[in-house]
Amino acid sequence: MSAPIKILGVGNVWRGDDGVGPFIAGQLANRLPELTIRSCNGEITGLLGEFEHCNELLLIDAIDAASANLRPGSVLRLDAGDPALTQSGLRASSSHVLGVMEALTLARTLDLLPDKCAVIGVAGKRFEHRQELSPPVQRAAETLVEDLSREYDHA
Amino acid sequence: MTSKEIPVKAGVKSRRIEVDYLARVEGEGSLRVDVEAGELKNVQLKIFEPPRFFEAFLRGRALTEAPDITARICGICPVAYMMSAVHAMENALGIEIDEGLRRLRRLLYCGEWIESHVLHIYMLHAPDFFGYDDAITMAKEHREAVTRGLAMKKAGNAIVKLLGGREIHPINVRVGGFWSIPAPEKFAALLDELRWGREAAAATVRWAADFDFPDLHRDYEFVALSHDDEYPFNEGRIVSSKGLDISMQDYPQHFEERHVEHSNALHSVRTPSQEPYFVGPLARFNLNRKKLSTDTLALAKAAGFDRTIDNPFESIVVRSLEVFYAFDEAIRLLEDFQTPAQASMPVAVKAGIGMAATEAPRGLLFHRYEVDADGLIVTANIIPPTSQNQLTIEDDLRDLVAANLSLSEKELTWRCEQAIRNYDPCISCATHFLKLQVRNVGAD
Repeated sequence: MSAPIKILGVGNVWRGDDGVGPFIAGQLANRLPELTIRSCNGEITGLLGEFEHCNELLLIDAIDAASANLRPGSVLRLDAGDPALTQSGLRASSSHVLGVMEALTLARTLDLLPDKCAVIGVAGKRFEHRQELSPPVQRAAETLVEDLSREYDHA
Repeated sequence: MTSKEIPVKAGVKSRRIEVDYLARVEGEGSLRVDVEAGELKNVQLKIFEPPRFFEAFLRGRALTEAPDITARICGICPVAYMMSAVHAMENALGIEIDEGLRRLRRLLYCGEWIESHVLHIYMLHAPDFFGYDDAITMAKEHREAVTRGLAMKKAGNAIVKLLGGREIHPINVRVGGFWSIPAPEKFAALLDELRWGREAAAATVRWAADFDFPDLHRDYEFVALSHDDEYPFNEGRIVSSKGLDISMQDYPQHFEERHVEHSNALHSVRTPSQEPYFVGPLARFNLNRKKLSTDTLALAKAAGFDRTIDNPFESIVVRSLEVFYAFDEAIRLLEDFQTPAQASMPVAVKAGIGMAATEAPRGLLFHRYEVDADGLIVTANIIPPTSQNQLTIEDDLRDLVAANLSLSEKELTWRCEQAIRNYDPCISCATHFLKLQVRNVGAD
C-alpha cells in the first residue's frame, strides 16, 4: 500500500483571499476522493494534528503579496525545509500569531514533519472580511485545481 | 522582536526605541512609553486594528443568528461569544434552559478554557519565564513540556469539536440550547483523553509554580461572575473585590465605556469612580477560589497558591489551575452524563432587551441586545474582556516601568511585553500584532 498522502487547505474563508487554501481543497476533494483532503483555519495545534498519519503532506495557503513582493495570483511551491519559505509572506496573511510557519518549524523541532512536506502559496491582496476571492487569486486557484488534479490523479 | 534607536529631537540627548513586532499577542496594537529625564511621563497601550463593526453587522439580523455571527469575532474564544449571545437572547425572551443543557454548556466552556489557556501558557507566556523568544525556541530545550501542552490543547479541541460541531468557530450552539446532542458513547469516548489531560494539567501547575515571577503588586478591583455553588462559567452575579454585587442586567449602571484618542478599542471603567478594574483568571480565582473542586484546591495548596493572587505575573499558575479545574469539571460532567430531554428549549420571539455576561478565558464578556417583535436585532453592544482590562494593563506598565528604569532598554522592553501577556490580551476581540515604542527623552 502506498504511503498516505494528505492535502490540506489552510486559511479563513471569511477573510477574502485567505480562503484560497480551503477553496482549492474543497474543489480537489470532489476530484480526488481517494486522497485525504481537508481544510483548517491555520490554528497551530490543529495544523500539527494534521501532520500525523501521513507520509506526504501538501499545504496550500495564502501568502501576502505585498510582504512577499509578489503580484497577486502568483504561486510559489516550496519544500517545507526550504529557507525561502520564511521570506514567503506566509506568516503575514495569518490571522493568528502562531500559524503555518510556526507549525512547520515546531513540527521540525519535535520530529513531527512528514517525510515529504511541501507548501503551495498563493499570493493574495485582499484579506478583509469577505468571502470572495479576488479575481487574480480566483484565476490562480482554478489553474491550481486543474494542475493538482492531474498531478495526484494516480497517486 | 527587533528594536532600533533613533533620535527624536535635534540637539537633545534623547532616544526612541521601537519594537516593530511584539510577538505572542493575539491582535494588532502597540505600546508607547515616554520617559523624560529619567522620569516616566506616559504609557499608552494602543490598539490600531480597525474597529470590526460586528455590532453594526448584527443590526437587522435575526436574533437567532447572534451566536454564529459573534463567534466570528474571535478564533480563540468563539464559545465565549456564543455563550454570552445565547444567554443574552434567552434573557430577552424569558427562556430558562433545563439542567441537562446547562451542564452541556459548562462542558463546552471547559473545552474552550482548556484550548485557550493551554495555548497561552505553553505557546505564548511560558517562553517569557525562560527567556526564549518563542515557543519554538523553547521546544528545543523543553520538548517534553511543549509536547504535553500540544496534547492538552488537543483534548480541549476534542470537547469543542464534539459539542460545538467543529474545533474553531463552532456551529452547534443555538438560542435555547443546541442544534443536536451527540450520542452518549461519543461523550464517553472523550474520558480517557480528559483523564490524561487532568494529570498533565497537574504537572503544568507544578511546572509553572516554579517559575521566577517579577514583583508587581497593585490594589486592583477584581471583577468576575460569582455563582452560589460553582466556579463560574455562564451564570452568577457580577461581584468585585471592592464590594460590588449586582445582577448581570445591572452591568451598564456600574461600568462605562469611553473612547480614548490613542486606541481603537473602547476603554472600560467603573462608574462613577472612573477607575480601572481587572477581569480574567486572577479575578475569577480570587473571588471564587473556594468553589473550585477539592482536587484543584489541594493542587493549589501544594503549589503555594491557595491565597489571593495580586501579582499578575503569577497569572500563568492561575491559568494552569483553571485548566486543571476545567479537565476535572469536564470529567465530572461526563461521568454523570445524561442526554438532555430535548436539544433545545422552544424559542418564541418577542420584543425585548436582553443582557448577559459569561466568563471568557480572558474574563468577563458582556453582551446586550435589543430585539423587536419580529425577532430582529435593533441594537447590539459587546464588551470584551481585553477592552475592560486595557486601562489596568496600562497602569501595570506604568508601575513596572517606573520601578525598573534602571533596567536596560532590552530588559525593560522584555518585561513590558511579559506584563502585557499576563493578561493574554486578545486585541482582535477588542476591535491584531503589537508594536512597542519606548520614547526616552533627555535621559543621561
